[in-house]
Amino acid sequence: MTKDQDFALIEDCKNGDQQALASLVRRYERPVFNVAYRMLGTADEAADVSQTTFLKAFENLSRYNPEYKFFSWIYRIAVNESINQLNRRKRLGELGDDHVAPGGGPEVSVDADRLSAEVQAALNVLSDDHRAVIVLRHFSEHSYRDIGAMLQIPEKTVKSRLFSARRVMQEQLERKGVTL
Amino acid sequence: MNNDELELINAGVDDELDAAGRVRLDALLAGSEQARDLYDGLQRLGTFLEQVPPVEPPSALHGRIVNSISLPRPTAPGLKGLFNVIPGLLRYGLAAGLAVVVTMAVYQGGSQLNGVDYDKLVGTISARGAELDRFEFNQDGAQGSVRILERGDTYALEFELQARRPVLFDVDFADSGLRFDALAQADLNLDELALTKTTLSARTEGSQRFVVLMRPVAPGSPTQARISIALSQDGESIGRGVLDTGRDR
Repeated sequence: MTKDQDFALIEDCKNGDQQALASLVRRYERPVFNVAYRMLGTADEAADVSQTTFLKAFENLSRYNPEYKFFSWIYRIAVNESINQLNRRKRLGELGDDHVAPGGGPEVSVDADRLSAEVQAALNVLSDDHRAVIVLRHFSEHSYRDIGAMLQIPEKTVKSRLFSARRVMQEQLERKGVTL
Repeated sequence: MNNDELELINAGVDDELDAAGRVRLDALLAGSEQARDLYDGLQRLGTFLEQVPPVEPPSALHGRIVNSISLPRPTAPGLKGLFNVIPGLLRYGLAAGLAVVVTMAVYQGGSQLNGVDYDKLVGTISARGAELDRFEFNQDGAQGSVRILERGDTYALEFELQARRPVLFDVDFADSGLRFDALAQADLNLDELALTKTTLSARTEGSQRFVVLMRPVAPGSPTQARISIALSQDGESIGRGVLDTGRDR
């Protein structure tokens, strides 16, 4: 979907068009959920954060600047909401690895399930900032520029965080016996 | 390696280098085994992460999100202020005791096509005429029909509905060669109404019947009127259809 199509749907939403709302949610619910899932590691929390993300986006639709991409805006909300959730979790007591959902679901093969769990465990070791850049780069395939826009940091910072985060991930995966 | 070289390697792995950067990276990799090891390791990590399958959101998430969001009331662009007064006028008209069946006399009083005559938005109506097409729906506790009838130069869209929860009707006759002329209703009030000369959006529930009257935009048109109707509940489509006059005029 192009930026113009997003913009047209947003304008329709502002005029109360429920079908435009459903289209926009359908377009972005999966990537938003995946970002939240990789940031948090549990499906229940990722669903809650996805709902909050869309709710906040639509509550603040009047503040959305159409010069920027809608997905940059909604991903930024998703990342921020995920970090807020991580902070809430830390205040309540960190979940152990055994609480982290292993992967996709019943339709995912055992190998894919294990792979997903290993990667998630490595992600969980990263700081929130490092995890965000890894998730946006490797699980959402965004450019440095888009990641910088989403996280409101310079591209140079994106590069340096990515480099540090990747080194930590490599170490974690190798420590678990994963051959890269 | 210095920071610039490390960033160069990262940008190369991420395919974020321009042509000059690519040349610098190639030179670095050609001259440094350490750089090559780092580059290869990062590429392997990227390949490994690509194998991780995306996670499917719970099937209920879509409805959960849509139902949690309250959009503004539907409005007609540019005409919002003008038409927001219509439901009030409808209620006023009904309260004034216009319980008499007004039938086509409601709009036969010299309606002009250059604006909506509020006087025509009151009363009850029995839409007589020849039925040209009909669209019926029965889903999720909402059932009813939309008929298009013809009488002379006027078309009537007659809506009948029985619904436990609010149903949103979106009617688009922009491409039909017809334009809105008048609205009349029997039974209860509409919860929400927004209209322009070529679209109508109404939200209602319970037992409802209302009629939308339309006239050709220009004498002799339309050759064949097609009117799109979409019904939804809580943002989910429950029916969609096209009414067609099915004839050349």
